[in-house]
Amino acid sequence: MPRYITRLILGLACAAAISSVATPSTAAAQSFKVIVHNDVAVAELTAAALSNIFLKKDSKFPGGPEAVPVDLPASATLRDAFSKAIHGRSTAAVVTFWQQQVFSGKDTPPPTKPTDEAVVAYVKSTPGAVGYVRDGTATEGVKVVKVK
Amino acid sequence: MTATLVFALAQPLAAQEIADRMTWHASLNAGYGRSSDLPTLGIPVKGTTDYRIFTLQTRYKLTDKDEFVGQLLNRRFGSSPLAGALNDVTAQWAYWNHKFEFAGAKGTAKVGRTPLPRGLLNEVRYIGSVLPFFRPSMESYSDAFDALDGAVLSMRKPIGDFSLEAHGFFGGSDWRSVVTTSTGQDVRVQRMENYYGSQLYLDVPFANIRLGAHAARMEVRTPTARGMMTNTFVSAQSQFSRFTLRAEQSNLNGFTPSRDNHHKYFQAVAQVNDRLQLAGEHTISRSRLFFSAPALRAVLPSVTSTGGAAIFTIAPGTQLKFEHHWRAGYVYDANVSTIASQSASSVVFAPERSTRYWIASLATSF
Repeated sequence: MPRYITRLILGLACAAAISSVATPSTAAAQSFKVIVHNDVAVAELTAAALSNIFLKKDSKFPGGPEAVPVDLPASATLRDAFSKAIHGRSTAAVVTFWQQQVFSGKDTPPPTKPTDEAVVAYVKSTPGAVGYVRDGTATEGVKVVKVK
Repeated sequence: MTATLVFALAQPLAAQEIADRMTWHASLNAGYGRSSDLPTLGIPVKGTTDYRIFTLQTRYKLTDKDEFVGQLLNRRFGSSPLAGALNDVTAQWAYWNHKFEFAGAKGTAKVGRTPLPRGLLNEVRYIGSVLPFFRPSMESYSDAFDALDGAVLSMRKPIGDFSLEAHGFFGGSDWRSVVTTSTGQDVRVQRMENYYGSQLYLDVPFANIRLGAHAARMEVRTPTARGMMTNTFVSAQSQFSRFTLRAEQSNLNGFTPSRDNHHKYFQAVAQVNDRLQLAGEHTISRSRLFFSAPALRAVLPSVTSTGGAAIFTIAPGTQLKFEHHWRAGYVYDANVSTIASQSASSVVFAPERSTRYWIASLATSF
């Protein structure tokens, strides 16, 4: 076997080992609740429907009004929990999906708010808005919907 | 006085409104490349850091359905002869985008200098953070047709659990290439006009399969020649579990001169863990050469390129890549030899050459 191939295989093996040690195991333990604007006449949503709304594949709630999703920043650990539970993929994969949409001229991602409280305030003041916040967050003035 | 006050109060509001209507996105794909035996794809034997693609995109929302989109492009192509044909900064996109709904389908109309839907990766060919390698297969996508001056009409409609996406387009585009002649290497920038065609995608509700078909016709006009060309792409992609598989075949033929081209590549990406992906790619490129004597039609020995990459995700949207490629055939930045020559009754091919090259790159976008 040529020497450079041996080096390449060794290099890739080292990379896999290093990255597996460096992989953080943060997110998944966090739980969230999904909130919508009070005017949205929806009591529950499937994970698939919610995923389609957040990826803008569907622009409306099932049988309902226009949906206006709002996200947390990509660095938020809660977003990783949401991405894995609802989209079935990591935040990095969802960010890549949005980069493909943006740089192919198709669409732009939902707006982001820096904190759970800012998400609640946005959902409260924006008709059709849908977001997610940490389980213990105060959600007066918005409606919590069940995710099936 | 009152008018001055109203004007002064209105200024911050107007500025805020403009800020709310504008969004900015940028991407950087910057690398260091080095080749072993022959310079190729702008990568010399001694190495180069002059290897970069930067884009800056801005969108100005006029209404909920209308926006202006502009994207500036800064591209450095190392020691490639094509580098001389690239402006330091160019307007890659400048278009008006109108969204509409028709018969249950979501649609957009783009007019101006727009992205060109062509295969799976043409529109994002410069965005390293969504590609497993520094660029898509150069043989398949070539340095051509990265934007369309004209109009693109797009529709997307769910059909049960399937989804159909259709694009139709008309306009003009550029094709930049390096041609090896008996006296050296020529850079050619050809303008294609009356460029029309369509791209279809079918998304299948199984293993995230996406199938694509593209066909386009275009008219080549140069001072010495004029003719029609056809470009086709057939594409398939699947993303399941930790794997992404991608394969495309493209054909470019027609026009009066001397060759047609058939390219295909296979690509596989494995997500080892949250931080690391491994990718592999194999490209085969085959060309037919036509000579003045009709009997002298020859199939050039294939040009092949095989690559592997390790991709580290530093943060969502930011990656560090290390890639290595083996390349064999005839396409190099140095004028190695005339590829084919015609004797009285036969065609003689120059010996094939090969080289390896490496690229270490950082890709990020937001």
